[in-house]
Amino acid sequence: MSSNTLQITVNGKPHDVKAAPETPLLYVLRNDLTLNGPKFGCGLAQCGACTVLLDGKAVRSCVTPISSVGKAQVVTLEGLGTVDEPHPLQDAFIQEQAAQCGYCINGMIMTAKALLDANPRPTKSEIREALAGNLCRCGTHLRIMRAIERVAAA
Amino acid sequence: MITLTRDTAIGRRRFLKASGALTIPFSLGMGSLFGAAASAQTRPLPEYAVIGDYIKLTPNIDSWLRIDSEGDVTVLTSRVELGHGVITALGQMVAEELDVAFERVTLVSGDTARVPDQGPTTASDTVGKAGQMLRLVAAEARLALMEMAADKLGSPIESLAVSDGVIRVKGDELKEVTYAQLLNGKSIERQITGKAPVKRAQDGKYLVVGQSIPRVDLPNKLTAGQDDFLENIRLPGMVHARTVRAPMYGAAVDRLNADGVKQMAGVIAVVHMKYPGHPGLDRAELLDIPPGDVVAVVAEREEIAVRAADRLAREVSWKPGETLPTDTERLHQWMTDARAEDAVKTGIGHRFIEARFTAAEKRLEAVYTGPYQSPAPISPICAVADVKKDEAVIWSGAQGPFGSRWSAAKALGLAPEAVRIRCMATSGMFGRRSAGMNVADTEAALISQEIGKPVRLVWTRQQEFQWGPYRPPHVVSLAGALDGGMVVGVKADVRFVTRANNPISAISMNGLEGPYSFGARTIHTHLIEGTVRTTFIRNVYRLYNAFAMESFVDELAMVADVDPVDFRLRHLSDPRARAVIEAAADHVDWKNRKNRKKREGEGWGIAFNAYDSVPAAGYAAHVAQVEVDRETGNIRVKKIIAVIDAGLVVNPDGLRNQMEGGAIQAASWALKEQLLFAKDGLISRDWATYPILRFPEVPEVECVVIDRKDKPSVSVGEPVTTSVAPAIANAIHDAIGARLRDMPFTAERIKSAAKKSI
Repeated sequence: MSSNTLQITVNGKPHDVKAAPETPLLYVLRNDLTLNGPKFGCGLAQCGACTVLLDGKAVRSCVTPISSVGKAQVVTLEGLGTVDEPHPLQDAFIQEQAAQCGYCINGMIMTAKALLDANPRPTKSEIREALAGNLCRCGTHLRIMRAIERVAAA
Repeated sequence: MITLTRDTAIGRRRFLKASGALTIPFSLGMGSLFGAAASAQTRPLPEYAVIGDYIKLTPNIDSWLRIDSEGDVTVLTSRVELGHGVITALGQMVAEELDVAFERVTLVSGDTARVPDQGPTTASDTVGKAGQMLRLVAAEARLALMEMAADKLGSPIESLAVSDGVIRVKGDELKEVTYAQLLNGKSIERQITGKAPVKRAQDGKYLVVGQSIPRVDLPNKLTAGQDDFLENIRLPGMVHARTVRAPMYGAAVDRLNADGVKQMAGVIAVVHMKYPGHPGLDRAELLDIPPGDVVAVVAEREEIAVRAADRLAREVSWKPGETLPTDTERLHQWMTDARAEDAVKTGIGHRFIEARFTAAEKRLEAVYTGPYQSPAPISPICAVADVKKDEAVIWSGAQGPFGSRWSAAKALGLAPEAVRIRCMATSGMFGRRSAGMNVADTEAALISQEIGKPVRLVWTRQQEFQWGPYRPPHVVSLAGALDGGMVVGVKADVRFVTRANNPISAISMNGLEGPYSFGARTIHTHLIEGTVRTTFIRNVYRLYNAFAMESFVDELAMVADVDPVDFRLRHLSDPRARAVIEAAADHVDWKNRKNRKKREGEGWGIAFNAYDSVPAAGYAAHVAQVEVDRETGNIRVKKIIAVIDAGLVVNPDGLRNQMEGGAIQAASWALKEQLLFAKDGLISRDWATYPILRFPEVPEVECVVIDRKDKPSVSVGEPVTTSVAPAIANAIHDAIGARLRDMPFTAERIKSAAKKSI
């Protein structure tokens, strides 16, 4: 396994990364770029905790090889906003207190961002379907949906 | 703004040594050192310890609560935030009792170097037990400050009033002094007597308690801020570990050929830990993991550790492990036939219950079952350990930091006070890390000790399902005797599977007691020894026992030809119990539910639960509205009504968050969750083979809260889940006349029960 130096653009900034080409994007984001947003939940693309945006599309970074990123814009949760300047989605989640443990929420917000960018006024049913592949173990589903609806209605 | 105190720069904080070199901006009184030292000498307090035990171990106010020169308050507790909002709630309780603004209060949580032992965060008792205790401490502190103020202002205590840490003489507003001025950087040097008067609300009004204050930890978590989660801890020089585990419980390594893996670029070490056999693991008293060798691969980069572990798994051979005695399909039959030891024998009326049954007009018997269920946390267990020659620090997701410290210290061969456990937020665990010993903490620590570097260890998703502990399976046999439409006797016999000598089996009758007046009620429980490890998963024994009892109550109601709500109320004199059931029934207009029925296969069911562990005494009821297709067995839970009486509500929105989440998680248990296994191994290994409820399937949840401002605040972590499964089972019966007595209510079971009911 050899390491190449690859350049990827994350949250608007270019980064040189030295990792084997098959390295999952998740580990590069977390360990090389010290980003907290995308999280390890399964490594099997089953739960969505690792979701990031690649040119606006929600992808599972745990199964996305770094070599496939190319020039695509990677956006993570911290790329959306901060505590002091939260993105409307983050703010809606805070207003609705849409979290219990909070571990799955990265996937929820990033998937919601992709949904709303493509479909700004989704129905309740469309929201449920869009999140069908995102797992929440604590049962926060209803608040997550309310937070997304709050942004959609704004 | 209240903040969870965190190290903002990992590695710059120095380990607390006896000299007290803490870099915290408030004075460190002698009380805290005494507190820390006292905790170090003794075994960790168990989950059934009471407030008196906490006070006896750490009697000084200053160990629990400090006020700095700005008047800001720090509260120290071993309780941890699990995503259920308790840290915010505890802060509210202290702010209220101490008469300070909420924004002044900071909680230091779950760091064994800084906090006293207040027990683990389990058993739905953080608000009811730890919170009440912190109220006592705050009341004691306020009394001490009032006495100091009376002295300073030359005015008796009765003439003083306090607001946001400012004590004034009533009617003479110029005479005032602040908490900070009174203490002047010193600590409150008093012990907790428990005698200081605790606040009662004026006209039911509280200032901080009862407010839906937003969770203090959420903004950081929702913006991926610094130190948001344990999983994001990074240390200088930290390396990554993954484990290769035995293919079956009890298997030992036969041949380990690690040469190829060791030569991979970036691989640092391969550490083989025999279990049993590794001295550290043997000492650690790990109770929630069965035997089986572990081989850890350590690498500079995480993906290298993953790939190296995958390769090593192909290059190690194993001796045979244990064979499980049965498989999923035959589990309950095996449990019925297996040798069992008596666990609990309790109840009333043992001497005359048989006579009651003989004389009764009607009798009913039913057997209910529940499977092994996984807590299935979204994050597989993770730990970061930095072990040096004489001391160790472990960043942990433990529910009980002192229990984890005890176990890790034994493993490492260090004194407990040389090991620091720093609990961090992680995904919801639901009891998975409750048994105190925290396998990942111990494993990470041993690997770090072996290689002399800080180690981050995380299990794989498959390992989390296959080596993590489960909820024990139950077979619950119930018999009831009816006379004149009233229950005059109930016999309950419970068989469950856990490891031998599990002391928690002492509560295996939970969920079968409660306030119904059933005349004679006998409960016998029996422990069957099994390999698959079980632990105190949310509800522990109560889930299946209460499922059985609340389903049985509906079945008895049917035999008596009485409406299920009326039937319950006939047997209840406890007004709080009656109130939750009546509130649930009123909310859905229960009496007229049949008139509202729009289609075939629609049904409503109700169930009740009174929490039975001290000191919490929450009351809950759930109504489930379902749609069932008897041909396919498909079920949709459309709506759940959740009702709770938790005494004085500390944080209304936090409570509703728990009620919604608890209803949905419990619906997932009821409809979907079971461990699949064959004799030669577990089949459930990922989210495909252990499905949980997904977004398209979740019900709507409506919450009804009975806020009893005159009753002590109690916790709700488990009560918000307990009566959901029987409510759904009762609703299925209402819908299609089919009785589901086995959890989960799969389509096959519903179809099969529907056929039987025709």
